[in-house]
Amino acid sequence: MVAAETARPRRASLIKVHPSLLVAAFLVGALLLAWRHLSAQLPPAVWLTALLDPDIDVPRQMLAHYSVFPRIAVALLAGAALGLAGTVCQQVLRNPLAEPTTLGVSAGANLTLAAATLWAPTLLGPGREWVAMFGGFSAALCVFALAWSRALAPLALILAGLIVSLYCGAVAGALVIFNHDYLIGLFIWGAGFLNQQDWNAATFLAPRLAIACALIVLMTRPLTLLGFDDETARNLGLGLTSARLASLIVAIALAASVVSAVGVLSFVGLAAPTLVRLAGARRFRDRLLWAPLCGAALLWFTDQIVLTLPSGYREVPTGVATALLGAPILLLLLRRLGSSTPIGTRTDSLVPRRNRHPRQLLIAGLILLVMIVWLALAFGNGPQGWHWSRFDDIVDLAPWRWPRLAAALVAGAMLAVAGVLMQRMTGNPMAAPEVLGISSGAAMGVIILAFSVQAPGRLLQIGAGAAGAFAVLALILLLGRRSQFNPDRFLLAGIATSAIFGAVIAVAMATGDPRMSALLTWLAGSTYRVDGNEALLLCAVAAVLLAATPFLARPLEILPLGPESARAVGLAVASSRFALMLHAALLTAAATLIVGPLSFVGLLAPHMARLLGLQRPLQHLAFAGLIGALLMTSADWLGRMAIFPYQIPAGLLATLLGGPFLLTLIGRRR
Amino acid sequence: MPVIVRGGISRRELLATGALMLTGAARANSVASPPRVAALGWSCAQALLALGLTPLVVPEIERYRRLVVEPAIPTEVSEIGLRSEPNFELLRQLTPDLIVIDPGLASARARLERIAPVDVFTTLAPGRRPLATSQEAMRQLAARLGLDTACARYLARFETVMDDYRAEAAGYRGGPLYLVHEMFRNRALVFGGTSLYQDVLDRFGLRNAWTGPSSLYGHIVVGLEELAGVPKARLVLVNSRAADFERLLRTHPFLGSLPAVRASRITVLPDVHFSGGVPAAERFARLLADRLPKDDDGRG
Repeated sequence: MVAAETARPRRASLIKVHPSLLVAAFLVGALLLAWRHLSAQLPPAVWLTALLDPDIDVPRQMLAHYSVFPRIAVALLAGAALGLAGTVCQQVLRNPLAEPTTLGVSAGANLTLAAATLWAPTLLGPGREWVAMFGGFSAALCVFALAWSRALAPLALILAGLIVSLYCGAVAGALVIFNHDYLIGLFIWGAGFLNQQDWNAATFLAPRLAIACALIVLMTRPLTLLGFDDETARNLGLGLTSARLASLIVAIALAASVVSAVGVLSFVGLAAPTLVRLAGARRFRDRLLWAPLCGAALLWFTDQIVLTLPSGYREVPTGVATALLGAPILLLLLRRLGSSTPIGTRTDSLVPRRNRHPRQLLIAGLILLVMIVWLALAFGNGPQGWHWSRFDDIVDLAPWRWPRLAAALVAGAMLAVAGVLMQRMTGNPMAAPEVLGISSGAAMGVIILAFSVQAPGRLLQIGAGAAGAFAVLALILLLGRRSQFNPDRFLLAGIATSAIFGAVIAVAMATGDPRMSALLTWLAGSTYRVDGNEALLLCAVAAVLLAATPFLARPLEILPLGPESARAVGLAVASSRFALMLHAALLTAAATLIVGPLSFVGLLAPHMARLLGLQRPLQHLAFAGLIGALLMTSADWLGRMAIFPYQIPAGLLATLLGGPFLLTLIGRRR
Repeated sequence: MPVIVRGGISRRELLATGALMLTGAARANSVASPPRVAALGWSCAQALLALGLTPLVVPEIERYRRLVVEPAIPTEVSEIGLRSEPNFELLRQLTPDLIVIDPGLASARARLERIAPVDVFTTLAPGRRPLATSQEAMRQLAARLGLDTACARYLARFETVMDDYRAEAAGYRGGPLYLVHEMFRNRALVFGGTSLYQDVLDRFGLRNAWTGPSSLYGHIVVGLEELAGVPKARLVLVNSRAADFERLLRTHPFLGSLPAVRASRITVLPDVHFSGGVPAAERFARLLADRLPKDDDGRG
């Protein structure tokens, strides 16, 4: 009794340290490392000279003046800017997970920079900030449009951000596949390296940060009120929309400037406000002060740690280090978000009219599928132009065409079914197979293999992919157990995994390694490397998994009604969720291993099936699977033929063509 | 060291060679034309062209003409698609006698063998000099195609011209060279001791200023400030867009302060395919020997 009472407050006091202590701890760590680093280059006596007035004939002084000191300045400024942007985003959106990276700003900015590198390199001089700004704002607008119908609910916003980021990534992927040789420059920079050779980045960031700080300080009062619910804020006489808009614009602009100056530094904007909150900065006013300071100290500390790492031929970019640091913080947050916190609102008011003729529709769909399969086998582009093949030609060509066709068809169906499972279980229209993180895990396995083995065979690649996929699956199941497999936690864990994956890709790309170009097509959903045996194996796996799916119809019908209702009708909630999750994961893993991790069709097909008025679980599953198969087979055929003899990966083409459609589809629901 | 890299010929290769000889013989009987060989990578395309054999197909021809340049691809060669995904259907229609691939396509080998025998052209192997590996690869490819004399002639000519270039480059009396392919804001793609370029430098008796680690391809991405490591060094920019780099170097206060930049010790070469084997080495050697400053103006 006594022991318990004394232990509790002590523990609490440990957690409730003042934010200043946290900032000081990071600063001391950074200072010590920076001291060690700098004194290895210059005697402390001349540091001030090197900083203020370096001797042009002493290279080490010049190096300190133009490389070491600006790097520190940029780390501090960028960290502070991201900390501020993150704090504002979180406050305005009342979302503990909002920050520039999770809102798609960074991915959008990066995409426009890549496009400008290829087609308008002249824009990249003084205009690069505007290029990045344009991309960042466009991406953020898409995210808001997607999440608007759900009143910008935290989870909806994060998922929309993830989807927009994935889409930007896919478009950037298309640029990369066809222009790899010309984009090397962008990759070796884009991973968030903080190397500096002058004070340009620092003098670029400083005034922008100052202006943003001033604007945000002026808006402190409305921002504080925004933390209350809309009703209260409105009663206090606040124009909600304009206050939200103004402060968000400032935050996004600031984040885009950071991307244009130093590249993507994931998660600093998430980590800084979160850490100061955990350290006891409960009021917005406090966080506004401490989060930027914490961001600055954190990024500096991270950067100094990166500098002490032995630099082999693969150097770790600071942006990747922050992602690796931030993902666990996100996972930690998951556990702290009490189950009472409504992180995703489940309202689906728009119910399309139920379809009265599902049978006829199913037959029509199957006929269409058969037609497309025939088209894909028999009609094609070639040296002699578009033509139908003669029968003997078709037989001859079949060994080249059918494995790809079968893989596309089956993978499309599997991903679509997995998407239905995910969306129905979570009640979230933006849940998709890739959100599970399974496909990211598979991709990481394959990439790590590619860099450790010279010319790995196909079998080894699939093995490595499977290992990665199942490692992630084990991890999310382990994390999910605590929350009784609460679907929202799954989604967030998947987002964290995707972030780490993004970091791994960035490192791989940053090496400028020629081997990446072959991996890129697989990452973009190419069926090119599928051979007959693999296609048969995939068909067999799909047959087993898809045949088992109807048994999940009952939990799929009941779970969306909420755990209480489900328990009332005698459904074991945790184990049903587990079964659904496992099933979706297996479907995703099998499909991903063969056609790559770009599983956008798993997001799209369930929505199209619903739009056709197919609501009941079995109908929904069947039609989504059919639509998924249709989408992927058409995309594969079109990708093989459109720019013959060049080929566009099926997953990429499906994403590029389906993305805008999906945006309007989800955006319209309200 | 005299290591035999490939411990003898595998059964599959033996069969493939047999098949090739048969088809080759059949063709020789009918039209006496050279074997129809598909090159699915740039390195093997370069080797075939250097051996005097025009390949049936080459991937990304337009880009090859801009980035690899030589040996030039004749206009009758067909486009076969991306290097990472050459088009199987088109390849099948063209019925080659032999398919030569770069190691990156090894995972598709089994399926390619249904079209024609496959030869993997390896210009890079861990722990071996790229130039020696490429010469060996070229000899093996030539032996398979019955072009041994053409290969011997080509490699002998290579030695002669390399001697010429060496003599030409001997006029350069400046410091070691930083070989840079790409520069983007604060990063540079530099070539080090494991690169094909290093073999050329060794023959010329020149030193590479980058002595740090480098990949199998010989490259490494470093912060631009690393280029300050050797004060007497000269910067060699191997990129047809290098004018932008030069402007970048001159406008940077720190880089502008580098002795090499202050003294204008910058040499610009057009693009070279850094994993391209013997023809690429020759191109690099010729360009370098030609563009390096000689005698007095080289001291900087």
